[in-house]
Amino acid sequence: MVKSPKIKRVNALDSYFPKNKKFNGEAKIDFELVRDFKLNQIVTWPIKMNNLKKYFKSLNVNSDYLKPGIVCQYGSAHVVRVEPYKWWVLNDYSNVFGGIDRDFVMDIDLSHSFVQIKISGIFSTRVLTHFVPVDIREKQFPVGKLITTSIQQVSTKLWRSQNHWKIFLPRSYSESIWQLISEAAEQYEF
Amino acid sequence: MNPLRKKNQFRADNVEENVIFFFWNNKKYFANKGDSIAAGLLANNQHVIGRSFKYHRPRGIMSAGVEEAGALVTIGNGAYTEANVRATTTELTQGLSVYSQNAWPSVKFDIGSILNVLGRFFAAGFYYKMFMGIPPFEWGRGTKIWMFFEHFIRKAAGLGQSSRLPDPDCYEHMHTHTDVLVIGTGPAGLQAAISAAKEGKDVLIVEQDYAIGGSYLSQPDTVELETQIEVLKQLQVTILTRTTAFGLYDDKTVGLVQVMPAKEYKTSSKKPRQQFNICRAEKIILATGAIERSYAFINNDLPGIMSVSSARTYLNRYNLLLSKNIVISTNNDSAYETAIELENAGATITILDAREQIGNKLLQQIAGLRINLYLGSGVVKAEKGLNTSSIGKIKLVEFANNKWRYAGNLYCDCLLISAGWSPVIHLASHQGYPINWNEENACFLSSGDNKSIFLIGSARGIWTKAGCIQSAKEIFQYNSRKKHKPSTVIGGWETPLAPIYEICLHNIKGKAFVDPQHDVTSSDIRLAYQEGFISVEHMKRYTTLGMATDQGKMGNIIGLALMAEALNCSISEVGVTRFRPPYTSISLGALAGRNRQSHFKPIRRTPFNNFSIQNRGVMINAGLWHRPWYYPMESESLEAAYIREATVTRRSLGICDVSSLGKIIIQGPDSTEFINRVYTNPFAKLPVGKARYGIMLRDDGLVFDDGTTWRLSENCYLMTTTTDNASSVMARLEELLQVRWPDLSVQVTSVTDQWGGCALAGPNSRNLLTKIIDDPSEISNESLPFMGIKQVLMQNVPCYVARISFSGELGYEIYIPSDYAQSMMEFIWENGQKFECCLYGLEALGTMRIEKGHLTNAEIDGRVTIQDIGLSKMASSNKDYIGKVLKNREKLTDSDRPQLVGIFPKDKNKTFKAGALLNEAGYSNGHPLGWVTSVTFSPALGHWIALGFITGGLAYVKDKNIVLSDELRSNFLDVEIVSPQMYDPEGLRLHG
Repeated sequence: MVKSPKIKRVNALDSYFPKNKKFNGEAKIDFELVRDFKLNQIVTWPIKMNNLKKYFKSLNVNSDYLKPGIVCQYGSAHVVRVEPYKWWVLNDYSNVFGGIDRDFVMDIDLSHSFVQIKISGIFSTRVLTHFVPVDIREKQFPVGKLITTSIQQVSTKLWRSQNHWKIFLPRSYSESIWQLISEAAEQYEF
Repeated sequence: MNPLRKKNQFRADNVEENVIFFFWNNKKYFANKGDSIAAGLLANNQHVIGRSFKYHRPRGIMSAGVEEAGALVTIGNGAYTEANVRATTTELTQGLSVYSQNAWPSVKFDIGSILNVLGRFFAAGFYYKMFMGIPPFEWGRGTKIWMFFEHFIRKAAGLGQSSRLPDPDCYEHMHTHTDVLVIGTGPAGLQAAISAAKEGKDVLIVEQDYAIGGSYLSQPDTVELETQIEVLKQLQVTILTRTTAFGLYDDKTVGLVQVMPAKEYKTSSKKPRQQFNICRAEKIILATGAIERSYAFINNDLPGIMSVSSARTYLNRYNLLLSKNIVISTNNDSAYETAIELENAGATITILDAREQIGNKLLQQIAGLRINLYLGSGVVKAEKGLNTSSIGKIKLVEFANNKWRYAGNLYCDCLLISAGWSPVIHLASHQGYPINWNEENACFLSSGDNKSIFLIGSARGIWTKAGCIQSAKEIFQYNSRKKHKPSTVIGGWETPLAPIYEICLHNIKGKAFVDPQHDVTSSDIRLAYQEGFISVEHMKRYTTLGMATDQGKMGNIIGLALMAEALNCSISEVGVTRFRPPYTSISLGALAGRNRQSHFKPIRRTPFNNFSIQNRGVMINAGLWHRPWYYPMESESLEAAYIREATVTRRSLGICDVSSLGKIIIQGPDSTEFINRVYTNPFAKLPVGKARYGIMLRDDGLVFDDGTTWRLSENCYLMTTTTDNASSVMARLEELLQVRWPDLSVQVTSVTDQWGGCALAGPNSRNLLTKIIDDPSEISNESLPFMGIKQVLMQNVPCYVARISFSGELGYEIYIPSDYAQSMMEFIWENGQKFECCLYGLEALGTMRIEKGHLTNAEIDGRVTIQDIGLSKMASSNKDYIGKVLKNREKLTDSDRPQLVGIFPKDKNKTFKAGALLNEAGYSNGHPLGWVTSVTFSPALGHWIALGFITGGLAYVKDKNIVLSDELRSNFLDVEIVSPQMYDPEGLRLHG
């Protein structure tokens, strides 16, 4: 689709993250706003679960796709079961579910519902512990795990990636929560 | 008392160059780095630290720890003022300002001390008795007289005063998870942490002091402590000092408050001053130690009287020998170790032991030392010395023929007391673990659950160091699946303790304090007994025993013992009040953390937020949403702005941000059936591409919410809800699907944040829409009729257009993916200029919906039925839906229920406000006929109008003279009750 220059995609936290600012992976704490990402959700129903299992089998992927909260990579897409009958697909949605039979799943675009922030640095976990009540020690929360938790009572998805954390904040709350997180991060030289 | 700093015995960090200065009541003094405020004051010969709560008696330092009841001070200046700080546990820092409390003009000469002379009139229960009564029949009593005296009483009584300025510091929250949490760093705590860490556990050990070590710090030799700390570091145990475990909660959750070192938070405004740490642990080990008790005797609150263990702490930790002439009154073995160390430091010691004999081992230890021992002795009264407020003389008693008798005077300037030890079992008590009185050791004991929560060391009543360490080792020497059975024997003294709680003789008068912080005396306890307040809970409230900031750490046991004596029963029969968090006082700032001011609650912003602000929008927090209220032109007022906005909208075109409306996607083969069960009106035949207004009831038949639902495809709907109820409706739908109808193949997802929505309202709305969408033919009257929806392209971006209206004008709502919303609004606004359009905010939106009789939560307030709001025709009789049966209950279908109406003032120049009551003329003082829910000035009608409810509705009040009464504002006016559709009732404008 060719977009008009008159209507541009503007992230809710655009003004807080200058586009020319480089993500500093070496810093004690750093944040990166992930712009223009694609996020789709597929849903199914109990009576259709077997069809979905078969579909995953046809993709030759392991059973982690059916386990809750484990982020699986399929090509350039990431797939994770976020609720009993809901999966999130990050980025290349059509690569994973392009060929699926619409009789047993329905999808919805949630790309604009969330703001995605990457958090890195030696203090990244510590900053999160100021807000997130769950146990995020590495032995309890290994790489590839994603959960729904809350920051200041706002539902937030938290994902431990290889060298950083990712959080998905509801768009409307994102500015408020970001201000809170960034203020807390200042004590770690952010 | 003239304490001596033993310069040749400084510890490593207490060398000469580490001398710091501080200010005590604005006078400069010097102390050693690492000193507590109490140590610094004692080193400078300052003994009167404050004045007592009620009687304004001079109070000195009574301890060296958290149990301190006398030495409460205020530190800092201006906004940084912190009151009621314990001098014994707060570290002195360079330049710290410290002030005495509750004294005027000075702590040494306090006018308020007159209350001590008049003390007999202020016994326990004084306020209750003095101010009860019904004036004017009982002159000098009752609420009115209390209101008069309250000011003076509050001023005279009390502790320190906080600053009235906003706290400039920041506070932090934190969540910690660990395998093992050890509370306390004495010998038992350190051993437990080491044992746990050696098993490969994550271990967190916390210490409320600013130095790690607990009772190790009071010992002359620190080698053992240093070794233990080194091992902890090697085992990577996390150590938090200045951290109080103030409460133990369910699921092994402990509330910790960590006070940051001043050098950190004072040098950076970004560093928190305190951190509230919610710690969850698999295993919690309470190595919280024990607190040394005093006993009641006359003037036992004089400065210069303190616990024996504190003298040891001042000697060994702070290198302060309190006096060269010390008397120790004890009833147990623990005081002897201190006596020997004090003697070695150069003091002459007199021990008054309440026991009539002691073990040979102790006798051998003190043999040959300058220690005089009086067995079967105690103190009945302390007296001031000459020209001083501190102790100078004591009256001795000896125990003979089963009673105390006077045995002469003894001069001293320091009296140390040890009447037994009280294990710190507060945290176990918070969780409700049994607390039992141990007669042999005269203390309450608890053992936790011995499964995941353990008490070890002196917190379990073990008095020897070796026993404490052994109790820590035992925890990790058993199979974790089985319940731990402690083998270490509690107690451990050579000669058993001889319990004493009070020494008094009938011919020696004066105040003997039980709870020195709240000035509760032994007479107060007896008075409580006489007055019938014999339950421990009643005694506590009648006398205020244990209710001050120290929570009775020093005095509770004495109070219980005196009540037991009065009742002629045992202490275990009197019982103990359940301890409540916090164990020690903590700041409210730490509990609030960052959730204050702008972060008090999270704020939701719409995708048009920046656009609204850039276009002079005045924002308002409506619920959680930050929404545009009105858009003033230059110096326009709110009233002028919203009237203009509504007028322009009805005349030409208005644009409004409606993104905050709740939006829920409903997907699945059974979604039509689901929606049909949720709404009162039928949705089964709603065609794709159409929207329908629906009413949702609760189970009890009352109206829950309203909104439009759009059929996007055969099995996919978009439900809109009111802004306020969005999350409630979402939760409701999920509950229905998960609990009641799990057989339905339906999924619901909130997409409120996915779409930015803007409403175009007014006669020119279609004209503008034609200009901005890529294919104008899609929104012609035929292509997009009223309540039609369509997916269209705007500048190649797909968006939904729905022909619905809240304003009553020809109107459309456009929904576009949120990230595109801001530039879409800029595009619409730019194109709208040729129609002389305006932006309108919440106020104008409210005005236009009131004119049309449309509803919001002001009307749908949880008390109204579908009939009440005039929409009973929307309640289908041909299908089942939630609330269908119960909406037909007798009282919900009465014709005289309040019903929705419109309200005009008869005098069109009059104004009125929402919340006013509606009455029939002449009955303004009775039960009202109705009430006003929403009021506005109507630009379309030219006068104030309102929506409200009135009994029986329009038909009932047709010929009645109705009066609107606003008693609070003394506003009474005649009104006319009209149809709620006050503007364009035929809907001609709506349909274009």
